[in-house]
Amino acid sequence: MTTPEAGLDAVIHVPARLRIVVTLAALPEGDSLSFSRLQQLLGLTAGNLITHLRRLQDAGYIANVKSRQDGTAKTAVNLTHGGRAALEQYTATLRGLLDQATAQRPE
Amino acid sequence: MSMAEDETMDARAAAALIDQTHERTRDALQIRVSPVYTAWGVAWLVGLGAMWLSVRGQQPYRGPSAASAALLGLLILAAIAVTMVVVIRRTRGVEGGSAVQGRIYGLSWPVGFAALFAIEGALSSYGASGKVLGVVGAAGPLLVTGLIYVVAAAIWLDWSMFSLGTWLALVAAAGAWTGPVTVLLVEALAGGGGFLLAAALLARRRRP
Repeated sequence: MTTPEAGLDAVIHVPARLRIVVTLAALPEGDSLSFSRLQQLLGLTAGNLITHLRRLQDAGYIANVKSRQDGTAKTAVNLTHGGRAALEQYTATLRGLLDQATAQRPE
Repeated sequence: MSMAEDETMDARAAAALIDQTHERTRDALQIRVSPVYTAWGVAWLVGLGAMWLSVRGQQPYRGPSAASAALLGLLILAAIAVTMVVVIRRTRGVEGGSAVQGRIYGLSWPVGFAALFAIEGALSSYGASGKVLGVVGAAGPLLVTGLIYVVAAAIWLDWSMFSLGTWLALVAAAGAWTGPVTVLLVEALAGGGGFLLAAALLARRRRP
């Protein structure tokens, strides 16, 4: 029996990171989301979120944007073109796996 | 490696998580316009309605009472506050192109209304009658609001906003022809009512 994760991008195929990428993909291209709002939307601890963001950044899927608001530096993140493409690829592979599972069931 | 790193999920769980996350994010970031339209509908309906009541029996026409003008001003401030709370809550933390669009849209209001009030001042100082000022004062704000909505509909690709804006411009134009007294009643009922109808339709569409 093959693992159900066969062919799925390991960087994205973790619940927390999948949620991060899907959340950022919901924004229009060119928009970024502040660290604190992202944390609030996902309900993750700051440390946990930072760990996953670093992994996504290492893969080139997200980029950090520094902005100045109320005199203090704030960090915001956005999905890169590569990140958006990786999510599309991941979703397509996922759909393929699910179609396969449905097709095999009647036999 | 953290705990989350070890978590596994199968394809079906991943697909469900994508749908759920997408829906929740869209819901959290989407600006709900129904409460905004409701606040503006009440402001125009009650504020302009009070002005109409104050000029209704005037013989000769002297213009709306100071109390009714103050009431309209208060209601407009309340509507601005509702709008800002809704927008700021939803868009907190979003940076980039859509934030710039929102800021420029926000600035269109003071630009439009400052110009309108300056023009009313000019009309007054060049001898426009109280009746002319009454017509411009009632129809002007609805025209400015309507035009801003028509253009804003192009930013957010929102046909309901375009329809409301066009309706407000039509009400402003038609109301102006009814004269300084009735214009207030027309703008209150058709303008404020238009906002409230749009709010009700959008609130209903939201619940399937």
